[in-house]
Amino acid sequence: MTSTSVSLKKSKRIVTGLADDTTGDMPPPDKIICACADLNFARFEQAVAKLQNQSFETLLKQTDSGNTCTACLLDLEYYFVALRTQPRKQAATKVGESTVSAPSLPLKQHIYKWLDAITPPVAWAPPNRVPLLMGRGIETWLTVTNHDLLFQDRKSAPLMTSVHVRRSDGKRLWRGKFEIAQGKELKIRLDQHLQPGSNDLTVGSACVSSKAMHPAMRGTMRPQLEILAPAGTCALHAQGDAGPGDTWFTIQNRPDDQRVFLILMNNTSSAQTATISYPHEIPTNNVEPGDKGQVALPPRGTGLYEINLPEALSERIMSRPFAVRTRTQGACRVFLVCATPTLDRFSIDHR
Amino acid sequence: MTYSYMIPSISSLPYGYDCTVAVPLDKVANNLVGGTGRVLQGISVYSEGERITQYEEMHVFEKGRRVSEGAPTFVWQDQFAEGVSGYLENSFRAENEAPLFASNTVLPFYSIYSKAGKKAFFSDNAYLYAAPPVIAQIAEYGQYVDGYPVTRIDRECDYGESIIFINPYHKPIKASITTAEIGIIPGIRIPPLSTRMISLESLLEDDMRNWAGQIQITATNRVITFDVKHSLRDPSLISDHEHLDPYRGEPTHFPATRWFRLRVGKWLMRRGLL
Repeated sequence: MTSTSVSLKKSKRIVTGLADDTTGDMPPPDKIICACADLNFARFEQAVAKLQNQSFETLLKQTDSGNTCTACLLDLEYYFVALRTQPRKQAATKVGESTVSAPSLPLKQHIYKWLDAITPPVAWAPPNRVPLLMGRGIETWLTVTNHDLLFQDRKSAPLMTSVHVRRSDGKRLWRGKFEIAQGKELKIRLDQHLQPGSNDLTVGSACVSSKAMHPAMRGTMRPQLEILAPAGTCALHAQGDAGPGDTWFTIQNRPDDQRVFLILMNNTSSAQTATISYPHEIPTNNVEPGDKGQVALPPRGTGLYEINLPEALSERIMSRPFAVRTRTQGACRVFLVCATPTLDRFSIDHR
Repeated sequence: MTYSYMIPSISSLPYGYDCTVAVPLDKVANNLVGGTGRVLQGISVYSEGERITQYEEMHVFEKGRRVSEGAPTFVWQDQFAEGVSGYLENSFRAENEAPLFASNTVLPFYSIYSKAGKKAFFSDNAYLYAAPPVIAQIAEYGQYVDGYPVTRIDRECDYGESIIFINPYHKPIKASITTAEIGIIPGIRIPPLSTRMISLESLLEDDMRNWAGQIQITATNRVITFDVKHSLRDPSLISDHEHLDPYRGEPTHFPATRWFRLRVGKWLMRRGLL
């Protein structure tokens, strides 16, 4: 790690003095970037230019680099991606026989670049959504951390984090605002703001937004959801907004071992109905998918739907995987929850 | 720009579970220029330095539809000895290296992990290389640092947690797990083409009943990591299996004009216009 760190940091210093700002963090042409293959950056750049549409592995084979001690692999990966996405202007002249030249920016990009250079920085704090689950012995926690790099090297800024909790009908129940200093974390239990319903599980939602108080790096600030149940825990990072359309999950039919649910979060201020259909994509053709349920979602509301196959269909499908489609007209986040039959252990995933 | 390949991905194969890899082949078709082409899917399973299974399937696509007959699903049957785990590498290449793919980014999909008597869990695949957050991180900090903010170990509640380290490369990797409050787990060695599942219980002192907090991981090279939440008494009883989150090298602020463009993009996306 030390060698990686040093080489890149050195290259940054070298690049700082270059007039060509499209070079990024690239080393000078004569710098050896794979000592085992005696490969310098200029030859690596040539090889990338010749590569056309082949992969990183092909490049490693062709240059015989990265394969002996592999210490440089991380650097090579970085240079490869950087050169493929932003080949430097000098590349065409240095490469010589290569016909590759750096693409010129379209006029629109030039205008954007100029505008971006003269406008002040603004904190990017998009809403992040997490579903809330309430039930017997179940707790839902939100965590936002603001730690330094390896807990030592300050890279982040203090955060101002706002949290809004809504129940399933979309009504806002609670909101809080927290300052998270550098090196600190926010950990709050959210399900206790919900009111228990008549079913085993009650759902709600939270919207989390974190704004850095001065320009810095994002570090660890992504919000995380944690569900604690009597026999186990699970976690998931918060999700940004999603557009309307279809959301697909592939699951297995194993009713003796698990219960599978969808949590649907309406991210719009209008009511909408989600249509859920399955089983799709069964290899044997005699099974036709059909609409199995509809979930009415109030504005900003959250719905819970349990996936159950009719007994006869369940016997035909057995434990073969099949796909479940959720179709919505408006922005909606869909989560897949897989639980033990006794609801004492969960996992949660997203699309 | 077109590509002859999609970046390979890695899925973890923990001990005690079958793994069903149901790749969304319609998304492969959507990624083909014109929706037509012959694509070789390769799946290799590695454990303890060896490739133990290899499987190839040629998928033929015409106008956005798969017309070949091959099985769309690969199932790994649990067969590791107790405490041993492995990983699966999935790749897509165009026949004869034809530049057929509009994008080379990893095809995201969930693998399904199941076993009789246990609930299933799902986990997404990781980039073998060129993961955008890792690239941003290397550019900003010059080092590889992974992290996970919601680890939790509780001896009374039987909450256990481990980190799965996957080394799909040809050199041993040394890694360490660091916390702010309760010490580190240093000197974790992951041999080439191998996987190690490291319990976080050793972070607890003998008299500690529980701990919850952030971990950070660094290593001598990039390493693929997953967090596994399981029974402390029986690590093969897994509740959840999640990817970690690199220490982010992206900025918190954008120039006002870029911020505005991003807001417009989000607004359009939420309405299905983008």
